[in-house]
Amino acid sequence: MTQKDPLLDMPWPGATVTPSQACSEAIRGKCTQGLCAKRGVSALSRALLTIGMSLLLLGYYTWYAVTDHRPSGVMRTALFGAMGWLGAQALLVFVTLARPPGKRGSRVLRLAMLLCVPVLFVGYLALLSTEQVPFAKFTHGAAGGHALGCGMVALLLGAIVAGGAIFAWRRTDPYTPGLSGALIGMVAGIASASGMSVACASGEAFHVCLSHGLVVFALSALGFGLGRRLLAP
Amino acid sequence: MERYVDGHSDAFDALYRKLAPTLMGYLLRLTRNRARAEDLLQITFTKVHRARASYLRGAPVLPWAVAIARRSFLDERRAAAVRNEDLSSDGSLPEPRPEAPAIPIEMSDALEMALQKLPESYREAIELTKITGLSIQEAASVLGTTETAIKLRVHRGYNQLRKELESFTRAP
Repeated sequence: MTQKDPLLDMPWPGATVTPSQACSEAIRGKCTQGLCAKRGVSALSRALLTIGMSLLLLGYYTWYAVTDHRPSGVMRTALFGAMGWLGAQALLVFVTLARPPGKRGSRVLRLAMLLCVPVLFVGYLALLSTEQVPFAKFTHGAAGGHALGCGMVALLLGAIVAGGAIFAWRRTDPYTPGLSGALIGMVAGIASASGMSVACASGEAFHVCLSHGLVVFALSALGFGLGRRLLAP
Repeated sequence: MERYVDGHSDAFDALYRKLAPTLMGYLLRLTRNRARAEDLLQITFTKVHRARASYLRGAPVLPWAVAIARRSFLDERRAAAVRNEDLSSDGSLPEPRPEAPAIPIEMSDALEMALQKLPESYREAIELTKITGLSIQEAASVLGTTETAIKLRVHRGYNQLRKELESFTRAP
């Protein structure tokens, strides 16, 4: 004898409950007092602003490289690479952020991008390197100081771009603010690290991978923290 | 929502009529306390009001508002966890709330008790899809997870609910 599924005719609790009159009046008073048109910036404009800030940063690094008289061949190679990564950043921003929250596609896809793209970027930096010194030599003396300096400058400039972009996207994502923040941080990190490859004279493998590349991971983590606070309404 | 963003107060009334009962029901289920639910409803609408300029046109409104309400609840619960408990005026600890009746009398009571026994992740998934009326995709967005995970949680939650309710339906 088959038993009837008890969930079929279940008296599920009602979905709606009317708030009290006092509560409704308090909310209405707060939300309609001095109500005026407050048109926000569209997602497309925010996306363009984010890419614009990356472009501006790349422009600054290029200007620095030109005024610092970097060899034009090395600079040209790095600049082509940075332009390619700028295209990748645009793609990332439009795929993962430019659509309204809830329509931004699979969270797994966004998470996979967050994990894979920085690894691919560090791989690209490794390919860009022209020499390799032992790790002990890289961490000591002038090389160590240069690596620390490059890393700090890339981190600072990237953080400015990440902060500006997160400010532009503030209060737009109640669903996954941490993930969106981390993606914005990653984009800013790639902008800063690829730009630093244009401005920095070193082609040493440890230098470009650790001093420039780790900035992407650091800014993704920073973006995650900032995003959780600023991107949620 | 878009007319509200454009500054029409009558649009707010329509939006409130559409959203408030559902949000209140959802918050009441989360808090199990009417006063707290109303406080959180005010906080939620204040956040919706503040965030209206950054509302991305085209975004579905109900899941957006439910996500804001859920985040408000989680923030409040986190703040309450680190807040010291106030003593009552005579210096004693606050009285514990009376517990729910141990033996359910009606099916709706049995369901309510069975829902409360579910792990939070299963309960949230069932409440959002079955009671609040969101789609699987919308519930996945609100909970920040995948549609597959929501389906799995609902399925496992249903299995546990069935087991809990079998004993009630078999009882004389």
